[in-house]
Amino acid sequence: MSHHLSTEQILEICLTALENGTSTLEECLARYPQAAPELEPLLRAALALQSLPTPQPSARFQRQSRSRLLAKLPEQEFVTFSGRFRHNMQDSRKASKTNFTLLLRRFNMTWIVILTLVGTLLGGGTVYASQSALPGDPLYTVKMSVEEVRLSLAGPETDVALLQEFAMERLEETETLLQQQRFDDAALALQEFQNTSMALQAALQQQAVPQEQIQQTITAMEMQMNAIAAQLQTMQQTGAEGQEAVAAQTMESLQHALEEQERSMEILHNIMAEVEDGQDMAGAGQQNGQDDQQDMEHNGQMTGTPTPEMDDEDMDDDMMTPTITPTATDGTPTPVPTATYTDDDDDDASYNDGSMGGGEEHSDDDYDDDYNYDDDMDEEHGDMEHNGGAGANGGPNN
Amino acid sequence: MSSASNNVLSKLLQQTLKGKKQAFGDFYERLMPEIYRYIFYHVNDQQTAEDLTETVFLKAWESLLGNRRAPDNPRAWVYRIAHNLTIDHYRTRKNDAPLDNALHYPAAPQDHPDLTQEQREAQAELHRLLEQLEPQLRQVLVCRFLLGMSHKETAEVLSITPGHVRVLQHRALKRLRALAPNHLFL
Repeated sequence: MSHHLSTEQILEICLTALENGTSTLEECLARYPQAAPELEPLLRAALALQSLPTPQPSARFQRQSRSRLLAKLPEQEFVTFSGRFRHNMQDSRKASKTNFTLLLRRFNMTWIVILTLVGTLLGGGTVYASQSALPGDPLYTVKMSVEEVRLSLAGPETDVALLQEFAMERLEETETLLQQQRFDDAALALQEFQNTSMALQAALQQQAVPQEQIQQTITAMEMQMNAIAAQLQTMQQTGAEGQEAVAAQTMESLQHALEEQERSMEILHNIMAEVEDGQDMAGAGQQNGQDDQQDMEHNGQMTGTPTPEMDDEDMDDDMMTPTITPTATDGTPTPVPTATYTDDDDDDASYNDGSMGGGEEHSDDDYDDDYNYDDDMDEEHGDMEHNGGAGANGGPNN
Repeated sequence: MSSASNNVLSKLLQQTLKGKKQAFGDFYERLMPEIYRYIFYHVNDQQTAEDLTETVFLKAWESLLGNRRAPDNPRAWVYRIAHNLTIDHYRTRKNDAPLDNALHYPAAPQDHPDLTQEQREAQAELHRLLEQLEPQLRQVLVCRFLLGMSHKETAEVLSITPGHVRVLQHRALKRLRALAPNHLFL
């Protein structure tokens, strides 16, 4: 048999057999006695290579490199839904006396409208069918486009309602995907929820929305998030079959994402409290809102209400600070104040406790990036992840 | 090879292209360990491997945003970037790299507490021999035996055919065996 095979081929057959565990080295050599003298040292060399230990980066690198890398990445002008949304919001504020920018906002989305109309003409069923699509499904992009079109066609007054609907939809998708054990897609759905939640926060700050409506939104979202959290807990307790290590890793990132969403909820709570304050104050301080805002940031305290006349950049900061998803469209790093829309010191402190584990000192470098809270949280998350394993796996540390 | 699926990696890159920087962070976390190992086996120095690993992903970011589309095979794509970077590194550092680099080889005693000093030295020697191979032969051995890639995966990373991988694998093992003292593989 070996007469017909080259040494390369025999080597390949034996390596495969060894890898699969179907033959031992001796059995392979016995099967090809004529090739054995040449074959044996090659197979032994291959086995020796396979037995080399696995090098690991230092624990410090494992913990910090992600945030360091993200901070190093050059900023890029992205065209995103939420970024565009935010831009449009700012445009609207800048020219609030005219309706021109609102008109422009419609035009910005014209291409999507056209595409969707064409799609509808060619097969209206596609759009309908896409409504039940989940992240990872082929029709999901259609579903997202339809949502964008709906949002672009809606006036500012209905934005909030639509965004609430979409945010809930993302949470429901997450739940469904978890039930289907599509963990990675579930993580993507949660990420989309975060984007929608951020747009919703922006819209709530922009629009005068009744407190009851915000409360309803928060309650509904929290119920859904509790359901997801419970689902995750059950899965961890019972152990998702056949998922093992990958699932455990994904589970961790899902947990992490869920924690981020809980922070979003805190922000919404704070916005609601401000709406309440704002209603009490009945427009007092409209003229001084901007100055108050700056003073409060410096003092690390916020006791007033941000007003619609607030400076754009301030608005930017406030919208960006608590979010997980980067959507900077202007490319300029934004220093993040430690106090955001919090009513008092307690809120501020609890945010820090939750995200940074308290007591952790940050150098100026930590604030170089728009999303340093994310980075810090990642690090914190990394700490928790790696503390246990670093000692055991940090092989090449020495 | 334990690694993230290309499907998930593609989705993360698409998210990145939509402006979600954190998705690129997730992409990085999924691939970093294996890319680090790949580079480490070539440069045999922890600090250099860490620096190059980071550079690989910076280049990936630039390439991704330059092309405005995610590659069909994200893993092979990142490996190719790592491959090119290590080749460049090898070229520039060839003259001043100390030959006793293998002394720095991490034997990871906690992973292999039963290894004798003799075995550790054998591993260090093997690593030193690996360094003496031509880059392409070393690449094949690293991919196939140290990272556990299939022929197909190795072929994708090295931009050659699986048949060529088999030929190179045979040649590389022969060369390694010729360089090694007799006791090493017994």
